[in-house]
Amino acid sequence: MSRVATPRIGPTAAVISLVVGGAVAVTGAGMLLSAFLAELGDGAHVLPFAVGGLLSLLAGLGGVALARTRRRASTALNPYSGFAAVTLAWVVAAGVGSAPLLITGTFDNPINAYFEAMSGFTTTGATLIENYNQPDVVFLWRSIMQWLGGIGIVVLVVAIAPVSGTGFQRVFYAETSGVTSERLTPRIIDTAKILAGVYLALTLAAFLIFDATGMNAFEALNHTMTTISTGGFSTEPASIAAFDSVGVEIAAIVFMILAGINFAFYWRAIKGRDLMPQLSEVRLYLSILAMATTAVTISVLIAGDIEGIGESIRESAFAVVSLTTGTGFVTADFDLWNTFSRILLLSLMFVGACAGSASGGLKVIRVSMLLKSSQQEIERQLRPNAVQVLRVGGRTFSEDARRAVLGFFLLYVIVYALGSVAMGATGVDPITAISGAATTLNIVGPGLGEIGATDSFGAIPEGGRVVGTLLMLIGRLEIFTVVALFAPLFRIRRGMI
Amino acid sequence: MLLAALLALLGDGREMLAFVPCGVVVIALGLAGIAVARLRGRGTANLSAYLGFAAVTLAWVAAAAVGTIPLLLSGTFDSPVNAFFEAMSGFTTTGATLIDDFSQPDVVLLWRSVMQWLGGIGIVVLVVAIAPVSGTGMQRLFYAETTGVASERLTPRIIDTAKILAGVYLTLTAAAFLAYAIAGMTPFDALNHTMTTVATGGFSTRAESIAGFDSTAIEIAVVFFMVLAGVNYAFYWRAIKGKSLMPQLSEVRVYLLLLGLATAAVTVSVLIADDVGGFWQSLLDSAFSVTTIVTGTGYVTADFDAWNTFARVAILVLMFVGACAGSSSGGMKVIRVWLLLKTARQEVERQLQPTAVHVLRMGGRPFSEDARRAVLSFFLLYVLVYVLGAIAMAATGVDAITAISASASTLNIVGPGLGEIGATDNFGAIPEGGRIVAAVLMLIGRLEIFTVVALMAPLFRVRRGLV
Repeated sequence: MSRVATPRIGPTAAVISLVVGGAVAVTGAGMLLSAFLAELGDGAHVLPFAVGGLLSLLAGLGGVALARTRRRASTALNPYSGFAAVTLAWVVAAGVGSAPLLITGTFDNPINAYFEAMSGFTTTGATLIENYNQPDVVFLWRSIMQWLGGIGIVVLVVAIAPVSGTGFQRVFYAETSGVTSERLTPRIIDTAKILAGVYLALTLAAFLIFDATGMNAFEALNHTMTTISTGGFSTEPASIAAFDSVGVEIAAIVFMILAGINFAFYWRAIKGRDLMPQLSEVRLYLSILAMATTAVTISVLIAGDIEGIGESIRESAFAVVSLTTGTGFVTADFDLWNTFSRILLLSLMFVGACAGSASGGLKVIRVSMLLKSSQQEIERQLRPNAVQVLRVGGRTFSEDARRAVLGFFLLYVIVYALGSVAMGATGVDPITAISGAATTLNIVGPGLGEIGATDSFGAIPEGGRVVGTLLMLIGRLEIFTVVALFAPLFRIRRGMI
Repeated sequence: MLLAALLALLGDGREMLAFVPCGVVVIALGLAGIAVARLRGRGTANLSAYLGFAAVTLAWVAAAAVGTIPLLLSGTFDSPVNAFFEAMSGFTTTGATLIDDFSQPDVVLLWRSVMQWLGGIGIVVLVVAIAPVSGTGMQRLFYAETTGVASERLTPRIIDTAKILAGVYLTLTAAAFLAYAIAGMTPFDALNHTMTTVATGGFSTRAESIAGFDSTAIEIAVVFFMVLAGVNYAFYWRAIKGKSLMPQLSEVRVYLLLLGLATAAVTVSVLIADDVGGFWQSLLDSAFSVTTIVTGTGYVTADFDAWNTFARVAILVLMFVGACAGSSSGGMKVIRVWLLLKTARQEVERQLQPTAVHVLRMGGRPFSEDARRAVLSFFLLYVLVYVLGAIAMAATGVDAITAISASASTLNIVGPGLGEIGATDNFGAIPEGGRIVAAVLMLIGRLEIFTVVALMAPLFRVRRGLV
């Protein structure tokens, strides 16, 4: 045996080394890709990305190789090390991704660069860049970070979590089901390939459409990557508003909506399988978007925020879709609209799009389960002995799933409230603190007040950026993954009261 | 009402006449109503849950409607909406006011205080005495998830329990009155503030609230009695009866711990960020604000809306916590919050050990999985109503922070909020539509969400099968 020749590592270290190594390798490959693409553009500052990309790729592959020295590593995975590995993968990827942003001089402060990279990989889209006079490679790298983050979370949620047999299944699936009952394919790698295929197909389609509606190739490429990942980084300080084109806006709306749909749904459609598990979620998702657009349109018309019904529908639909899917593109300054639409948009951030997409928020399926459960609870006050089954979209959920989704909601609100208080402690005004916590936890991007539609996160003090970074990470990994890492801390307090 | 008139007779006696005939008529009607119910015999014995909820909700609505009349007749308000808002704020013990001009006849100020005082004992009796033995959905509502009073019904008969509670309430009132009078209030001020303190209401006889007295002694006395008023009345009852204090003792302990920790945090933030005049002043202002917000009283000594954002957002969050179950305070109540935190921790553990069995416990007492579902669902409904309330409030045209905090302040039965309804403002800046939303939220919050929301259950049934 070759045991003498290769280093021996424990099962936990192997998993972490595999996952983090993989993430670093992919990050490195993405860096090389952005260097390559930028070479076709202005070619400035390409070197740090090429070298950094190469180093990251090698380091990452080294990590993967190290993990491979231990066979069957992943079968021995316990939930804690699984959560730790995935969290670390995002943390390290953001760390690696922030390095070239520092070297090119885009940021002086490591905290800012790290915030930008975390906002990229989590597909949030909150930015600290105020000067958009940056080399092409920087914009490409921001877009690629989001694009990779988007496919990363989709693969994790749809392909890896259902078959992992660990706590992930609970985190992502016990409550959303839909996918768990039937694994898409027996092997993770096959599912991942199909998902990547759908992702690439959507990317290609969006690129062609954006290109056709008036963006140049560079703009189309960047916006394509940040649309499909529901990310929201733009090459323009004014975001999509800069193009001032109805064609571009409609194309962006369509692809944001498509990107917010469960990728398992596409997979089923392609394979000719029963669409039902996801179909009801998609239907509800579309009706939420339609109803919210109607409500915002009416309020904007009544309050006189926008002239003309056509214009009102256009701006309202864009804002609703952008915030619900957690993309964060902007065409109109919704922060100047009436309070009703602002609070409604803030609430929509929490709804999010479908589970199994790259969007943030609670996800539509969970929201519909919560609404159904609350209706049942009201009935239970009237008929305490009635037996109730939680049934959403023709699917039956166990009492355990009900508890899980209620527990998820509870944790979500607690983390949000703590996030708001922490954000408030950094010295911004209350509405900025409240919306800042909402927009980062829900993976959206823009908020209200000082971080409104036309502002960056520049007005948030350094402490608030750290809080924002943390909330993006917690929100991206659906609360439990990150919070469970702190479980040992809670255990110490046991038995106090 | 007659009580208010009688007390006003001792004061300036202005506009008193408006109250006397009204009071007589209302008492007559009320007695007639009870008599009708008695005629049916066994009326409460087989009360369906729906009727029970409807009766309780109607009781509050009718009381507020009746309470509105003298406020209109005395000329305090021109608009019935405003008068109804004020009366609802009174009977729900919220304390949000629309009165700008506090040079009102004594009888009006007294009537506001009496409304709160009655509302306070009303909710305490409902929650602690009636709900556990009513055998209707009310039992689930107040007890399935909370204190476990239900398990060994306080006394076989509601009326006995109610008498003891009224005794405790009166004792607290008398003690507060003496303390306030000694601390320097005039008897009239002391009487009014006593009633609104013990009821965790918050109406004051002065525009600046407790700050109007500018007296440290008064502030300390008020903090002390607010804290006492936020304790579960079942706890006092148990102490008097010499029963085991345990189910409530752990809640009281968490409640005091919460007040202590929150005061410490706000004090530190105020010392760092705001200049309110030295350590002791910071501590006193912070303790006062935290206590008034947590207990849902709503008195004001310092303009906390001018403090740093940490303190303001923390105050907003504290509104949702509230004081102990079985007190007249608002919010979700300490025991529910504590059970929620425990459940949250257990959910986190469950991610790591999916097969482990967790039992929800408080004060050594286990709660069923059904109780867990009930408290989680209560939380869900609470947040849903709050969000809808905030959106509805926003639709009436106030700014974002005012909408968010007004919905919180009314649903949680507090009184003041942030922004246009900050510590030194009243609800005058809220447009008429917003006042209606606020009145509804106060009612929903006072009756712990389900009572009122369940009345709309038939509406939800229509939508069944839609998605």
